Amino acid sequence: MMKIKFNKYILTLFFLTLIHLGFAQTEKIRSGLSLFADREFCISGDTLWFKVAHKNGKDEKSNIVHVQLTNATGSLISSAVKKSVGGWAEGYIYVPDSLSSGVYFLSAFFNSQRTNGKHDIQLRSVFVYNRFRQVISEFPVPAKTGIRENEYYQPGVAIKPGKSLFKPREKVTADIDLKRIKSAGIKQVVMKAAYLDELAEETGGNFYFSSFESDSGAPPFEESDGILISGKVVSPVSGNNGKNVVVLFSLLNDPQYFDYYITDSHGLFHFFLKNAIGAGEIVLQAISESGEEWEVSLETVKMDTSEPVKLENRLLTPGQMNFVEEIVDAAFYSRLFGESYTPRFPEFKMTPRFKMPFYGNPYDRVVLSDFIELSDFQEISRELLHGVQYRERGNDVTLRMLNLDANQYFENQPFRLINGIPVFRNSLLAPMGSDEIDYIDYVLEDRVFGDLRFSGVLAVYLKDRSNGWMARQSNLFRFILPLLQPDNTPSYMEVRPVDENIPDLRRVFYWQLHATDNNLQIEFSLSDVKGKVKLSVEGVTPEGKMFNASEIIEVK
Amino acid sequence: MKSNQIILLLALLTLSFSVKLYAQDFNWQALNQQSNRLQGKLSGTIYYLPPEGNSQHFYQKGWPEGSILLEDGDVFENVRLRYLAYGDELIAYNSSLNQLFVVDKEKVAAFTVKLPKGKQEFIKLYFNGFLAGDRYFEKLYDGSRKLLAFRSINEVKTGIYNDNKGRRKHTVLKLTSTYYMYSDETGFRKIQPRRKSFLNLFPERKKEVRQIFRKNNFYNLNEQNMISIFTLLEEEGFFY
Repeated sequence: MMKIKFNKYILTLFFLTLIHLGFAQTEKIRSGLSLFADREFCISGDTLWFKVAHKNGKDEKSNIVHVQLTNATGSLISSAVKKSVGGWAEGYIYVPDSLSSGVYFLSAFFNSQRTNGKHDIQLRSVFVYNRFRQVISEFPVPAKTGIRENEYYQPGVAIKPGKSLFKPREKVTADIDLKRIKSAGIKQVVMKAAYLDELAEETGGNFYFSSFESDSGAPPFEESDGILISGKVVSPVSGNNGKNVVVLFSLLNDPQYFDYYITDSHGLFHFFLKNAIGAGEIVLQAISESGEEWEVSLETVKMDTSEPVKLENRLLTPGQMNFVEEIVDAAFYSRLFGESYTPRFPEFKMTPRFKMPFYGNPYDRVVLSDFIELSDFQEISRELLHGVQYRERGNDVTLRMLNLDANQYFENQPFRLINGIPVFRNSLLAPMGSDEIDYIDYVLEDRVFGDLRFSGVLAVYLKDRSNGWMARQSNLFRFILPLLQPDNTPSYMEVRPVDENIPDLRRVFYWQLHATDNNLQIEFSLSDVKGKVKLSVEGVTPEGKMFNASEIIEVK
Repeated sequence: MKSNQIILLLALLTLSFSVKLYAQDFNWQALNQQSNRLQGKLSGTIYYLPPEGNSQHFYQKGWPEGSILLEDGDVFENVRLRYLAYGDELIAYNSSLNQLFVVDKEKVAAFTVKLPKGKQEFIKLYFNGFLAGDRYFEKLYDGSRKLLAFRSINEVKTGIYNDNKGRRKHTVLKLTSTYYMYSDETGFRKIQPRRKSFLNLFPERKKEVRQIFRKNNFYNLNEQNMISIFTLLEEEGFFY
């Protein structure tokens, strides 16, 4: 009798555990992002290209994909932010020159996913060989812990390159039968042809980890067509978080853009910059009612996983050691022969949201070169700025502007800007004359911008946009930020004339997204590098399952 | 007083002065977490409501809630607003600043005013006729051709009279509506609430237009009838 009762308890416990496990699994949310890379291995200093397929869930509107390269413990190496078009984000990420040999991981996420529950994050391994270290006898590879999932779905794709043995620089034509893929509802596939690293092939691939929910305090905001810039305000003296501090945001690339944010109890602030591409130069300043000095720092956007990837050291075979030596040599020569690289800090571009500056249309724009030389701002305001009152009492300078609508002077000073950066000390303006100032916009109106009210606006634009004057104001923090990545194509996909005297040391030959409407035929030329080349078709099913089909050819 | 004490005092004075400089630039009471709107901010110029303005200058009574669509696609919901027909401007209320302001017309694409009897939709379009420029039009019918009304309050001359404050006047403020048929392709075509005006819109199909008027008993036209006529004209394929 006792035994039966005991068995019942065990059974109940067993079922309860099963139910719990079931629930525990459903708690994790699929990230909805599937990442593909143009290579399984690279040399430090390479540019790695990625394609991310994403499928938004119900009510999700994010279209800004963050891609990061991390090491096994999750430390951030490099990152990129790309806007997706038609469900795909295509871009590149830098593998730093000084990165030591080892296995690294590419992952993709939406910014909102960092604070919005736990997600299943795909980590795609990239084997990196340091270009300054040719002799490697052992290499850390991901330990087989059962989390590696290379293919979820068997697509049944036939890749027919015609033959399996090729000569260097020979043209490869491969036919790909996509009928089964199309019938499975898959609309696009990633076609790739790249040099094969057997170590990466054997031990690398896709690894899935649960994300770590960040407590960065990011607002429940989905990035759509723009990028969220977050940071923190702290007191340099006490180290306390700056609560209810006004953070002013200026964009040096577009001085007519401005924004502000009132920090929360953790001193956090956020700005959303829409359609800003390339490297942006921003200036932040924090101001509180008490007038205390604040320190401003920016947050690094990074997705953490709940646990690190376990690695184990693998002794390399003589063949593998030889392979590393050869590809490192090849990388050296390809640099020597001027392989083209994508620019590290692409040029800033932003479609202005409106035709008018944030402070409204000026009452007048005074271009200083149209007038006689005036030595300082007092002379300029007296001679050229009608409705601007400049008073100097001892060392104290005050500015007042005429309120045209009320036909009287404002009690408060105007909102003053130098090259789009708000300034609060008139002593900065006082010595500026015609030789320094390019033009002045001034607004004789009581302006509203969100919850800020300006008693007129005085915007001074200097001839020298390097903003050296900022050194004289202590609370200005200047940052250069990579914003949305511009569109670019890998250099190996460019059609180039063949020059037999210049070595061709490409390791990736083909990397393109193709529609599955018709069967595919791809053509590419091999390089001088000998070894195995993998032709693969990758993609994701409408249900979010990744697939991969491949064919290997040999170059001898 | 020792010299270093004087320096300290001067430093404190300078600091307190700079604090004052920063502090006076903002209305700190108005700034809080609600002031943070990541998508963008609404901007404009403070509107000083004249004494007779509240009762005579606006198209709507009171301050109903509405939404504003900006040119960049950003939508501001639940804003208290009114259309200033005496000047063709959109006036909104900023509850944090406790101020009325004229919303920058260059930034506005459209706005909607929620009223108990329904909603009024306004769109901003560039009017290329007399007094060319951006204007707000009330959208009465929205199809392949739009029926738009330009609401304006103007001073109209009258006989001399004393107003309710005993002031002698010879003008009154009067709301007038001018109607237009509009599409991006055809631009503006002025319409009057008269049968003849509709017939002139389609000179080749006058007979059919007359038939529509007759069948539906449209004799004395009002705004509601005009909307119905537009619906029927759309159904009969007049706009293609």
